[in-house]
Amino acid sequence: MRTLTAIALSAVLAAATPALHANAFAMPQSGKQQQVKLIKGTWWGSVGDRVEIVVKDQLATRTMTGTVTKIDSDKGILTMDVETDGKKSSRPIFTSTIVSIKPASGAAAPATTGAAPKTSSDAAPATDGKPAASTAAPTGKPSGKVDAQGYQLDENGYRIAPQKGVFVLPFVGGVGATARAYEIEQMGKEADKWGPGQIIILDIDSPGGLVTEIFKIVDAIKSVRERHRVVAWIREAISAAAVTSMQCDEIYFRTMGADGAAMMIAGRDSVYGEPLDKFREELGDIIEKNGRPRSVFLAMVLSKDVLTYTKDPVTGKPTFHDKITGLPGEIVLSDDKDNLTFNASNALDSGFSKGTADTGPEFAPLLGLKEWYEISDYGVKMAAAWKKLYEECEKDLSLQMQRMEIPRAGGQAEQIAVQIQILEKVVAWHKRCKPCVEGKVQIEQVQKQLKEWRKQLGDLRKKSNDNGGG
Amino acid sequence: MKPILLLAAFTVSAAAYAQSDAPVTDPSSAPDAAPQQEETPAPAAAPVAAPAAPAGPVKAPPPFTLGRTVSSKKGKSPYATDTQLGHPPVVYVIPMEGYMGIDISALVYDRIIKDVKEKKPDLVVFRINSADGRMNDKYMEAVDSARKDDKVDPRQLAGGITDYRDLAAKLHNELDTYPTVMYVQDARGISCVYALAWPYMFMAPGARIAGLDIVGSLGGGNDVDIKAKMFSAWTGIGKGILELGGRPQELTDALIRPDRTLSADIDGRTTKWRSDTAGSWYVIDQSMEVSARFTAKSAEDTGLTDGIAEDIPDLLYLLGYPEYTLSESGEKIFRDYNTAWRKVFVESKKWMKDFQEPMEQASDLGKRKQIIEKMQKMFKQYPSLAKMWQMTRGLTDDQLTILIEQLTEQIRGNNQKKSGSGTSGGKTGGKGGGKGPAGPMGPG
Repeated sequence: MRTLTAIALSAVLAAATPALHANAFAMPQSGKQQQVKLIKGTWWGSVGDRVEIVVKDQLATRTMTGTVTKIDSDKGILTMDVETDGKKSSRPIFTSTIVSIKPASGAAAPATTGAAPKTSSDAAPATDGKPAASTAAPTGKPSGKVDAQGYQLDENGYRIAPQKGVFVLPFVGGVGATARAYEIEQMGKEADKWGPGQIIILDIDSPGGLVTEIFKIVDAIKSVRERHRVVAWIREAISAAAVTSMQCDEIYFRTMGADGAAMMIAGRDSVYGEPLDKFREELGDIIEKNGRPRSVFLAMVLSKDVLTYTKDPVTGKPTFHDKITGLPGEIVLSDDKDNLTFNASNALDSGFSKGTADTGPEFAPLLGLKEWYEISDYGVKMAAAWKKLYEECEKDLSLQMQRMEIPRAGGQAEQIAVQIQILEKVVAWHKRCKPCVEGKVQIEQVQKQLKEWRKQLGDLRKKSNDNGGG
Repeated sequence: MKPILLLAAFTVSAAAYAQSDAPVTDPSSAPDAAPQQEETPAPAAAPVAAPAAPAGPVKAPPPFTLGRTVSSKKGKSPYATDTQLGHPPVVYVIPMEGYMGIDISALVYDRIIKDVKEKKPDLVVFRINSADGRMNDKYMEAVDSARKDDKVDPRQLAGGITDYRDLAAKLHNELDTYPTVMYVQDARGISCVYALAWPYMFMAPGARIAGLDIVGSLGGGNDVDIKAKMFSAWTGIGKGILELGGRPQELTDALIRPDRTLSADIDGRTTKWRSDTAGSWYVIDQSMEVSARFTAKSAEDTGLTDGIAEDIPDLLYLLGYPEYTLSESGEKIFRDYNTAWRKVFVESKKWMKDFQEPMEQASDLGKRKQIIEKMQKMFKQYPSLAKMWQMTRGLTDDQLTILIEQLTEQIRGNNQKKSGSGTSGGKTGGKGGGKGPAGPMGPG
């Protein structure tokens, strides 16, 4: 259940990221070397390698050293001879529990000859047949080295992905709340480890949010696009999220997707005047630089701005118009009373989107990939963790505020003591989840109130002690 | 609104032809097709159930194949001529009945999806009968009236549209490997998004698809631009769901937006929807004040529906399956969950009435606390119950938590008074006695 609100369209959405899991194992690349998919990342090695393995066991992690005796890719089991207290034993280990594998100290790194997979040098071309601008992938050959997390490295020091794939970052919930520039920056840094030219998918499901965050997002995406190909995949991109989608190299829709409605608002009123003019001008410039018509963005902002399109009768190439032209076959996307929101069908037909896909396997060919493969689940986990924390914070803050009003049986001192506890929780939340607390309470005021109540409580207790109470 | 027939043409759809030997029943006398009533929005003890699995053939084989061998629609065709099964199909019926987001909730469908995958049917039939309980033709007036009557506000139901979108997408993603068909017994209000979210769709004789104006009413704001923004956002999300069913923009615009008109040109079996009133075949909506709405008849005439089926056996017959086996476990899962929480809902209204009775003695506080704790336990067990209380009385789980804490403090205060003990600075005592805390509920 959700309500679109003011500038901060920050109602909470249920994240519905599709379950897109790669196989536990990829096919062996040679007779000797095999690729093992770990909890996070992959390892290349073969029987006979002496390795140090970190295994996740319930909540704990264990480290074991031994020699690999068998790799069963079908069952996802790696067997190794382990020495414990001077005794040798054979241990089958589910690879899905392995956090990392690295050569045991003193052992040589596993050979990674021609068997190792190529990096994404032949990165996906865009669907228009032209190679995407940011797909110049590293061409380094395997170096035989591994990094601290157990990833094989190429000669340039980049991690080697077993096959071409994507990095998915869910961009879910309120912009500036759970959908932020920060995660985009982090996702870019993570993708950097595999070298430039990676495909980062911004999986957008957001009702919009803070205007201030948009400008941070613009900078973040711009920076990431200098090294990688950033793609928007639309479930819901309303308001600030629509602006976000237009910062990406390419836009794709899910069948049920909606993208638009970007008017600046505050409460139940539109924002006009200088802030709006600046918003339209600056973001219009940026979107135009990104290769999209300014008129598309403007029609998402003010209802008076019109957007139509026609298609060349020979080539089928669509052209947007900022007024009704009366040309044959003209389709009006937004008249002078409407605010523009695209759906999958008219976004595709007008050329705003480059394709429609509902699942990873459907999406892969549109991106120029042979199959859907997520190189790392870093983005998915990072976004989920932040969203969970934010939602917990939001729920608890609301509850704590209501608790403040409850009269306590223990009298004034207990009343103050409980209120202090509540404010201490607020302060603790502020440390853990600042964006959630800010905007709901003034933390300086909370600190001031805390100080005052602590003093009051001290005075009360002192008075009580002086009176011999207890 | 009555459609205006501009051009009479001699076309008989496959479905209509098939019914020539089975006269169309008066909608009011067709129990399966009867739209639900306001007071019983959900399956009661004896819900509308799919017909029992036939022991053998239910009808004589059709005189000709009704299946469409060529289809431009998305999704797997459910027609016998396309499925080419070579044996009577196992048909799994997935009900969608009652209030959207409450009875028709994601929780139930998670269980049903799992069950479908275990049963591995040959064909999946979604059966929808959800009308927000509103039977008035003047839909938005009925909405306003319902709010005054303290019933579930259809706007609140419609407010869950993104949840409905996500559920529709999930059902597609999980079940599109099966040939699937939607059977609309009735769809009024926000439930229309499901009626139209699958490409193959049949309707009961008395069924309607109407009232998606409700989506546009979710917006708001004080000026023209914020209103336009909100309207655009909500209607864009709504139209997105209809695109799952392959519905074109001209149609989805007219279904959701009151200010759009709709007519149709028909070329053979292909309907070309138009956003004006100049269609040569049919004018569905020429008003700028209400959105387009369909009866089974107008939907069939314009090709919106694949055909009119009296009930599920009739639907299967029209698809080309005179013999079939019905898997009823979907109906059972749906019925069991919704019957269970609704039973608790009836009970819980009594509990809350007791809660609001004036207190006669301090010990009543303990009873009140027990009531609220019981409510909270039930809220956790049945999310639909929690949603029903929230929508009808504004009572939330958080409020219950606060009430419990308030009552605990009052009980403590009373105990301290009784024992004559105090705590340091305990001069203000508790607030026990009297009527207890004011609950957030309205009249019980």
